[in-house]
Amino acid sequence: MRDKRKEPLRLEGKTVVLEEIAPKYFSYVVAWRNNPELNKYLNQPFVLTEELEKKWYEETYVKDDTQGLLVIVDKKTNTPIGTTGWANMDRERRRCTGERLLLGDSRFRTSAAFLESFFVVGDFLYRSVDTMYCHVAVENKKAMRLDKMLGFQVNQGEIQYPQNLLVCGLVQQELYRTNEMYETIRQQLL
Amino acid sequence: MTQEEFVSKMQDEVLDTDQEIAMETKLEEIEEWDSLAFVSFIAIANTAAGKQVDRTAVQNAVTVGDLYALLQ
Repeated sequence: MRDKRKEPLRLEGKTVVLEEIAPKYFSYVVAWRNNPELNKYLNQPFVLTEELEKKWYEETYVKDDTQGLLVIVDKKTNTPIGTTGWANMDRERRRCTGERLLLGDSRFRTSAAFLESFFVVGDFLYRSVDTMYCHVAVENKKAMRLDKMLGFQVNQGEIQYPQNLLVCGLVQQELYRTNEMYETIRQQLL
Repeated sequence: MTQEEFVSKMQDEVLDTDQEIAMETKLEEIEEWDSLAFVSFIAIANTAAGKQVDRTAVQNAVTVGDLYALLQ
C-alpha cells in the first residue's frame, strides 16, 4: 500500500492540480465542510474541527487504500477551491463510489479548473475501475443535474450500495457511470 | 442559432431561471450561472451548435452575448 503521507497523490491537468489531502489543507476543508450551505447535503452531522480532521487523517485515512480525498487547486492562482474523491475502491470488482465533491470557494463556480477536475480524477479512477457509482440527495436537484451532465445515469437495476441511500435523514438516489459512458461525455465536454 | 433562440436556450436549459436575461446581461448578475450552467453551456455548444468551445474562454466571458459569440 502506498504511504499517503510520504507519497501523496498529485494529479495535474491543464488548469487544475489535484493534491491529496495533507495537513496544509485541513483548515480549508474544515471551513468548507462547516459552511451551512455546503454542509446540508454532506454526511457530516457535526461541526468539524482541525483536531477531528487530523485524527481522521492519521487514524483512518492514511491506513485505508480504498478511499481518496483530493483538494482541487486552481493552477493559475494556486488557490484551493474544493475537494473531490472516492471511496469503496474495489480493485477486484473494478468499481468505486465517487465522493466528497465540494466546491468550497464559490468564486470558482464557473472556472475551467473546476470543470477539468471532474475529468482529471475520472481519468485516474477509470484506470482501476469499470464503473463508478455516486449517491445524490433526491432534493439536491442541482447536483443531480450536474451528475447527469457528467454522464451518470440513475441506477434502475440492483442497488449496489443500499447503505448509502439514506444519509443524515436525506433520501439518496444511486447513479452509475461506466467507463464507456465516461469516454462519451469526456469527448463532448473536454 | 439566432440570438433570440440562444437567449431562450440559455434561460430555459442552461440556467433554468425565471430571471429575464438579454445579450447584455452580465453573467455575474445571474445567480444560476454556476458550475452546472457552465457544464450545460459547454454541452449545448457541442450538441446544438457543433462547437468545441474553449473552457477558459467560457470562464472569461462577461455577458450572455460573449457566450453567444463563442458559438459563432
